[in-house]
Amino acid sequence: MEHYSDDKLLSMFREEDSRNYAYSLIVRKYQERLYWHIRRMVIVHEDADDVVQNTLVKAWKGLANFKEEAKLYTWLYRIATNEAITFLNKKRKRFFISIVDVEHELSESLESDDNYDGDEIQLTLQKAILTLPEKQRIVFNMKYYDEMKYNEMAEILDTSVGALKASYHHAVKKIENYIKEI
Amino acid sequence: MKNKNNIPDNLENEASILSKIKKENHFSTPKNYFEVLPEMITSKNLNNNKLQFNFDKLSYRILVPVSVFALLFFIVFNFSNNNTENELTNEQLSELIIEEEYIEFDDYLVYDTYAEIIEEEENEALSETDTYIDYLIENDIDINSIIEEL
Repeated sequence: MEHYSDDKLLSMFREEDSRNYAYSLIVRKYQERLYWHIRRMVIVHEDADDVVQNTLVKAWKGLANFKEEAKLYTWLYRIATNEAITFLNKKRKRFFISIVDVEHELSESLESDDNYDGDEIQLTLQKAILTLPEKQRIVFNMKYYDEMKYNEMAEILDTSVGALKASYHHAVKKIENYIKEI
Repeated sequence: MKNKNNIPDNLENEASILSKIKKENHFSTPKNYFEVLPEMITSKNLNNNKLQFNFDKLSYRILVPVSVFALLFFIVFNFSNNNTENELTNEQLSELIIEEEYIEFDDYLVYDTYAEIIEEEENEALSETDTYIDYLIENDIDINSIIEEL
């Protein structure tokens, strides 16, 4: 598969003849990164699958109006993050689960998940991450696992770099304390 | 004073335990998931487009005529329903009054209806008599001769 730059992919998408091809290339280029970002938030594969599909379908609908002031992948990340948050909120409403309990439920589902094979310390780390407030959890995952830069995260989450640094700092401290206590 | 915005990224200084944990992804996906995913999404988009197209087609070719027909039918049906009272025979109307189904029936309407019935009967009787008289005059027949014959 040829590797095109985002600019090239977007210009191909604007052409009627190459639109579908460009879109399939965009999907192939970003699907894994988006999937893992979503998966760390919703934990269960089936849920992540639904959310990533919705994300990419929304991207298809919105690409025609995409303004190149933003980078393509930060735009896609933003859609994915919003979709995952919406999904978790719906899950809470659907099962009348309180904000704390949905993370507790996800934590329990990790232990029985066939698509998770972490050892005890990895499982503890995941459980610690799930104790964080939603926004801190997103920030921690993006910084720790995706190794994203603060200015990119700021663009995606529409927050200042300072707020993100503080959020990450608090998240790290909480995780450290959680692991120490066990 | 420590600047809160200059929190170091270095985990070793911030979290000694966390920095020792290997940064690994232990989540997995079903086999060939990422090979199948683009096709699933493409087909989902195509289905969405098809639905959109079908709806457009439906709206122009079927939905609009059906809606117009339904609207006309509703108007006609409503109109004929409003006229039901006028279409009732006198007997049906009387039955309704007797059975007190028309509890809000106006008394004057009952009198008017009754008066109309009597008037109609009288008119019918008069028109019959007029026909006989006209026949007798036209054929120059004396009514007394008929009485005598009887």
